[in-house]
Amino acid sequence: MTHYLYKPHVHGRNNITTPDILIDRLYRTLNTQYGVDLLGVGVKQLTSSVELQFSASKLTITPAYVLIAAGGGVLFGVGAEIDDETQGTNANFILVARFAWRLKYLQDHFDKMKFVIKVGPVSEQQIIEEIDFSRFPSPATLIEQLNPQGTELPRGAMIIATTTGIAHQINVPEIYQVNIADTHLDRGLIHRVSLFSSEQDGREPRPIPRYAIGPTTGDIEHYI
Amino acid sequence: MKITAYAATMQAVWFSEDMGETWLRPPTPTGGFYNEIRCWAVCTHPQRPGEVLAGTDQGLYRWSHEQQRWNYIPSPMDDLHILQIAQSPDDPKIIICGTRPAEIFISEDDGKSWQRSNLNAATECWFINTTRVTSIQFDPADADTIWITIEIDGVFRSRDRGKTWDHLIDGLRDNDTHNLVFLNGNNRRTILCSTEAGLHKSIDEGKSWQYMDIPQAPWLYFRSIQRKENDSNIIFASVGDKPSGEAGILLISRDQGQSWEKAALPEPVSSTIWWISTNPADPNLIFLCTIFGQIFRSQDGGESWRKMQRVLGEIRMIAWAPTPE
Repeated sequence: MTHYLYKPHVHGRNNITTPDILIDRLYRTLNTQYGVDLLGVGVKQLTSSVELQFSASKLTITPAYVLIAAGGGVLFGVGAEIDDETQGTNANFILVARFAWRLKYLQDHFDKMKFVIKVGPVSEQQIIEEIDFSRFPSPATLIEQLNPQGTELPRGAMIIATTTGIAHQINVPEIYQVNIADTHLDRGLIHRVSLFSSEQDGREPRPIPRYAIGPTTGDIEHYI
Repeated sequence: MKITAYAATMQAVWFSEDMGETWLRPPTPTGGFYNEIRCWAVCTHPQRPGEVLAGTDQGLYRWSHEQQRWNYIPSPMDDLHILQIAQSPDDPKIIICGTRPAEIFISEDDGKSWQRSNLNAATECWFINTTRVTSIQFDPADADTIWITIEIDGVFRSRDRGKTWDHLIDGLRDNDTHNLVFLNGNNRRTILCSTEAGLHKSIDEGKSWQYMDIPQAPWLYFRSIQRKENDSNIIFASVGDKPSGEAGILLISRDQGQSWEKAALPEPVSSTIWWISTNPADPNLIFLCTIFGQIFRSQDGGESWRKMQRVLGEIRMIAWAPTPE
């Protein structure tokens, strides 16, 4: 797969637009002693799913914000990197929510934004960490690496931005929620993902699949 | 009473604010979803005025009358076709969705979280390749009991709100089932089931089904059946030459399905009547649609019908509800 079809709901001031965007260049931030670099990764790791399955009993989940190239200006989203260390890097998921904002409406109040991480079912959620947005590399710094002359991202690009020292060890099964709260505009971007174990079958006893024929009043030529 | 009618089509959901005379879609720049999104189902609830749930090929959406837009509801159904939606009559936070492939997803917290029910419907079908849910109903006598019909795998019933299911097909001439109607009798109730091979009834809670011979029906393909809201004796049933069909009729029974007569539609339908919509807010106001876009309206409980001038594309469901003040 060389592209991922991202289907965001972009919340504007009084509306929602739903551009479908082909992502074919995906970057993760790589924090080094000299600063932040961007590392290209395969788009097959991207998902907007709300349910994921793992063989590991423990995952490392790193909250992230997401920058997406779009015709009307860079989109700003929320997501996370999920590492199942038993499977190597190819088994990782990069989550990106189907909700996004326009970056240009945030640039004057990044100091009023923070991550709020919760775990547990909706009715019993517990906050496990709150993180000021200022601890993350700034969007301008990341955009500059792909487009030194401008403020827009190149077509088809998506950047997953994490920061050092912030990751969560999460037991499976669990429900993990990452939220970027914009206290200035009183709104939030939320993605909640249910993490399931491949070792536990919630459907036991699992029956053999059946097939149906259809109209039984006619002559049916068996198709198998 | 001012009402809004909703038509779920292969080009999004159309709205009518004038009793079906004219139809519009919310504009794409502000409406919340793409105007050619495929939509199969719309669902309203008396306790949620101005709110509509829509099942599409890109996920589940909720219309906000106040915001005048569709809001996306994250769910595990984003890559499925959401063909049917039902909300518990007692509690609109309990939402059940039926999909293609034929699966049932249940939320008990207004769509915040979802569980896939352990429904063991057929996973493959000679006739339509992939099975699909054609109707979902909460049992009028017990909100924990759910009935569904599947094309093509018969009738399923759950008495524990989706935890376990009974497969009820004994006596059906065909498992291509489309819809159910529950009729209260003196000491027992009758359940009607529309199928590809005629109308069936059960007087033992679905344990067995009996074919009903209806001479007024020129074809066997029974699609939508619906009870008049305030009169359990009156039932409407649509019959087509085939799916999607080139001809069809509407039948009315005034005696719980014992006898039928052909309804006087003002002009022929050009495809099978796919859905009949009632609402307890006005039992006499009924909309019906054909799958290829015709819309008819009755304001006298189905005694007379008027065809709306506007023809939409492919309509899979029609609904109406009072418009909030």
